[in-house]
Amino acid sequence: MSRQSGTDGPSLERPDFVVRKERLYRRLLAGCAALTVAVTLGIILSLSNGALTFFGDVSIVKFLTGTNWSPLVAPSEYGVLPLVSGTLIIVVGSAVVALPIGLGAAIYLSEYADPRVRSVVKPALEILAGVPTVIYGYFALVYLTPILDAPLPIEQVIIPSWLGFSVPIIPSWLTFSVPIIPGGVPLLPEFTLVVPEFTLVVSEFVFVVPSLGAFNALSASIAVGIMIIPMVSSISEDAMSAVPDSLREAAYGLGSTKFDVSTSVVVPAAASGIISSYVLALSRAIGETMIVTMAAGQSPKMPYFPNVLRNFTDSIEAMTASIVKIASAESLGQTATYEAMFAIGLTLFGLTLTMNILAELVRRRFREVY
Amino acid sequence: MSKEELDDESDDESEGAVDSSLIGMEVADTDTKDRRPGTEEAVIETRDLNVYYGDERALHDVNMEIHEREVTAIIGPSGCGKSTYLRCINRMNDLVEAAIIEGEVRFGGMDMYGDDVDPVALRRRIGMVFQHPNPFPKSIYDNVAYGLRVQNRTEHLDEKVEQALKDAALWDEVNDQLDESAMDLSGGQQQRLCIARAIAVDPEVILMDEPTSALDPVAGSKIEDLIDDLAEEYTVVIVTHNMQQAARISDRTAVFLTGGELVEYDDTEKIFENPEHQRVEDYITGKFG
Amino acid sequence: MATKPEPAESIRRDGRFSLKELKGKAFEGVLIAATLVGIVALLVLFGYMFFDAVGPQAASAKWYLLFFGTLVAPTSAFALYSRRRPAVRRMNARAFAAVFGGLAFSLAAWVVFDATGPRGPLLYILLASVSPLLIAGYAKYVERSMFVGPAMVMSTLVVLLWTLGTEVFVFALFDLIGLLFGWIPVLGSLRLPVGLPALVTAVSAGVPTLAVLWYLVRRDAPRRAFVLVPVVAALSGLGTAGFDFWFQPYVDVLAAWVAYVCLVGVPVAAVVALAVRRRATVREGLVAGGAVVAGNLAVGGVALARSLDPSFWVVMFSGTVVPVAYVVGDAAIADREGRIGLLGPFVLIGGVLLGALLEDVINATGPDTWITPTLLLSTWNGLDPTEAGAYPEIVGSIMIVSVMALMSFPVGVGAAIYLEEYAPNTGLAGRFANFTEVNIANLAGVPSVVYGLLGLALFNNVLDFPPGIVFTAGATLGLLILPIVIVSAQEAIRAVPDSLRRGSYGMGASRWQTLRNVVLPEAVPGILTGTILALGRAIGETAPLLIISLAVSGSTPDGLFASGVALPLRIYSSSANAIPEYRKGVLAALAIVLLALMLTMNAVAILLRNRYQTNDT
Repeated sequence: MSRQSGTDGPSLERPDFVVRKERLYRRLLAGCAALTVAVTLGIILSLSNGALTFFGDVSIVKFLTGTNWSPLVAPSEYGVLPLVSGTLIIVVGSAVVALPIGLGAAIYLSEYADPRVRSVVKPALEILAGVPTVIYGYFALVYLTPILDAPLPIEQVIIPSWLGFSVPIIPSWLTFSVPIIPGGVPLLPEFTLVVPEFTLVVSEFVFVVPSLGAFNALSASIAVGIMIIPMVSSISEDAMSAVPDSLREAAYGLGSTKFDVSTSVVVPAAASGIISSYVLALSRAIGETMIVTMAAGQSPKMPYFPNVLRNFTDSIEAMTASIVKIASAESLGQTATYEAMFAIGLTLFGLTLTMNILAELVRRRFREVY
Repeated sequence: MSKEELDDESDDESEGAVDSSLIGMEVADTDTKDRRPGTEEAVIETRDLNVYYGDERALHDVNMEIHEREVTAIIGPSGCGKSTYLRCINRMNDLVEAAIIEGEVRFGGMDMYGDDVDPVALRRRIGMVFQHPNPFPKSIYDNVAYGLRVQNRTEHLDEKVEQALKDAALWDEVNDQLDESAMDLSGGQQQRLCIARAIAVDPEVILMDEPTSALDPVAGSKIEDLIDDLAEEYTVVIVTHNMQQAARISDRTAVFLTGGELVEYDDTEKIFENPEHQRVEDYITGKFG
Repeated sequence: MATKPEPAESIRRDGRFSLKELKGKAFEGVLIAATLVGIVALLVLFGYMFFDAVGPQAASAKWYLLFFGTLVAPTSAFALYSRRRPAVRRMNARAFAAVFGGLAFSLAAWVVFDATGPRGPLLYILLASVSPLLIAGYAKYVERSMFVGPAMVMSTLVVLLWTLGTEVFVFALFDLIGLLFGWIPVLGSLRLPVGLPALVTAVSAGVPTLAVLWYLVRRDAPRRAFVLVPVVAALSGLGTAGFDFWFQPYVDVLAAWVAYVCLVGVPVAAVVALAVRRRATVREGLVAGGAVVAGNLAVGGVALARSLDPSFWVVMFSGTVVPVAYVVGDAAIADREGRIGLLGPFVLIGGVLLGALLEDVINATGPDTWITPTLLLSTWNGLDPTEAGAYPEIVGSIMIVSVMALMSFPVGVGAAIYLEEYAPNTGLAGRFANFTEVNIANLAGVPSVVYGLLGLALFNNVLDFPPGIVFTAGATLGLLILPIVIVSAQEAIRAVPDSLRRGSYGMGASRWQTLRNVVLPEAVPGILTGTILALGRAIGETAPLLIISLAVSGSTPDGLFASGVALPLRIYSSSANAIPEYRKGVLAALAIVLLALMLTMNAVAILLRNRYQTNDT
């Protein structure tokens, strides 16, 4: 290796062996990367394999339109709509909890909180997503349900009687009055609460809690909602932090308050990021298993209408819970019920995959803006 | 141009006052002992070298020969392609995926972009020192031994490390702390360590990409002295922003101007004293750039 | 705001009620409430659970006073003292890591090896480490090191494949082939001329032999190199017949506690020797390693003489005493300033012990806790809550996590390295890499229950493993966390500054050399942190375990292929128990145990990260 050997060409090669060694390592590592693709393929293959067998036994139209799901009781019926409705109820409930709260937290962290507070609160929020779901399920079942089931002290808390005025939300002639009923008795869809000394008119969509079952969708969806708050808040916050300061400064320069800047400049500018976070969080809620299995029960049913509230107070069965129920059943063998698990799994997979891709597409759009 | 002022001051101390507008001749005379015994043999030749980064053309038909055991300086304004040129010489541009290289670069008569050339083996013979000192987060010893180890040349490791540190004028400062982290050294020491690291593997050519621009003037002048010594044994190609530096240490100077064009390449004296092109003269006298 | 004020007036802050300001304040209040509501809700629920599990209301004031005096006061005093002294704080953190990390490591090692028996794992480790060690020794002898890396990697892989599984992997391969091609009428009805075991042996011994032969012929190797062919044939034949089978008798001769010394003590000694060698000479390293082994033997001997369980004490000595002694010795020599920080963990432990000792003496009533030795050390009892324990479940969870780590770490880090360091942006490979990245992002969003279905289909149906074994559970969860491991490893690798890579390439180092010598040493702490966090999360995963029909109740699994149990599954299955003490007592306590396991892993990750950050400055 003397310096004078500069003119002989072939020394510009490394030993064959070394080059081959490098190639071996490269291929081993590429193999590792390829394995992730194999995992996806494995998921698709195994799910569609089971699902195809299932649809050989049960017609796909019946599966998609049937309103009765009773795979374990003969004669088995495989209508997926009750399960979809159960999942939807959970998604709606958790969305009501998580979307506004997550957005609020994101605005606070991005616009209001000083760095020290943020450095403490952000990881604390992340903990919400890190608690095992089985513990959330346990919380919802053992603690949340009894708390929610306790009769609400309506007279004292909501409307102090000394205020002595009524809050007409809809004209009172549209409704009829019934005397106040203690929490625990289901209320009619349309009613007026008559509290001693004054009247409160409420529409049908009010959150007065009828009696909760031991398993109910309400506590499950609250727990799922708490769990997905950090998904909404962290992705939304990233989107808001990506809004350039020049926009904020422009708005301040025009005399806006912080409130105006947050709500009318930052949030609209970060809208695609926020939407993407919503979609991702809801996809998480759809796939959530343990909370809904433990707290929402395992009784598939079609939604109640028009008394929407009752859907939350009753036990339901989500798609994920039905998979768990079938898997826990003893010795099924390769029956249609066993394969039904894969059919639902495929539906779930397709649904969440679509939502994730959608979220990614939306997010990509917002990345392009800045 | 505070940097140049500072450099002028250091000149004052070492070699006597130099009129900043007449740097060329005098500096070359005073600093280096005449011409080095360069062999006049071209180690590296480039023919019609063009480099594109995506759509942007970074080098424009560069033809140049680099001679053995000389210091060749490459100067020019920012973004003129001088670093790109340097990186072509040891194929560091291979690591930039968007870079497309056309033309011919010959090393010892062999086309270094040929199919049979392994860039890794090539870099073992053409070492490189970067603008910012980048020692590995290892001990001083391990840093210098790194190249030898990756090339599997571990016999007489201790002596080779010592020799490299001595050649890099660092041995006296660090010989009692070889096992300590290289990150604890000062910037100038780190840069000399990087030079020691590069010469430890006994390359034929050492490329330096603005090796003093991230250092203070005193540390910078030590590196310059070092480069001067290195040229006794090695072929050195140095990219620099600093024209006085080029004038002080180099035997030949290449001037790149905007657009990645090699405008003039000649003996350093001639470039600084009597350049052929008006643009080069304008650049050197500070009219632009 | 109704009338337009004078210009000078208009910019003065309005002292009176301002609607705008109120709106802003109210908005901020709502935002703060939104930020905190989730955290507060979780805290409240944790509070309920904590009260139910620990029952602090039952303890008397005397008890609180006692523990305040022995535990809270000294530790807070110590914390206050060390707060302003960085050297002390640093040493304190190291001491905590050594003491509690050591305790966690030795207890985990003990419960797992106690369940499986020490000899089986020892056999595997021997088999897996003998060939790389032989290769390394041979390389040292002939003074050529070029082939060491790949040879060690390949030999370890081959031996693992052999020992873990001619049966598991090769038989399964045949099943898979049958599944893939069995539907073709001709092939489906084809009868094999020989039995499946013979075929498996032929394939697994023949393939390596033919591969070597092909290699030698293709490279025109000298004639004497063909000696390799019969060697490989013999070795792979032996391997197929079961290396474990051949070695078994020799390992069985060892007393159980000697097996533990080999299993835990020797690796610890090797680590100590390497650590000492790095700071001093080879000789001192050997002395230190020898001292650890001798200490192990001494502890075993003493325990035997005092008729204690020598195995347990050997594990505790290697896992806890040795690291603590190393840190203490290191501090005594190197860090005089921070030496006092060593006391931290001992103040804590001493406080607990002293309090427990005095508790009986002064007759203080402690809390009415469900976290009892029974809960931690005995088996489940569904009828009597005071007799219910979850020892098998805890051990099962630890075993599942270990399998998970073994499955996901190498693959995940390998994939991350490929994507960050090798994959180009363009061309076919570039498109493959892009696709892989998108795919990984999507995999991270797949519901865990779907991974359960994958595990069920892959391991139970295709590979025909028995249902609900530890390996299946660990492998399924390993696939689940793979995307998370990859992404965090990618982040750690990306954080290594490019100037280091350039420096290394500029020196003529190849990609692999740059990776191994420069990039990975810098990235490893970050990679480990991310992986441990992912593992900590996965320890609470339940749904996939339910799907692959892990047993809800059972005994401690005695091997990777034994029927497994897991702690979160126990929480799920017993939440339906009608006896109220289960729901609001035993389960709360189990939930706390599960969270404690998670927190321990997170603490390890955080310690690693902090150490990394302080080293970096």
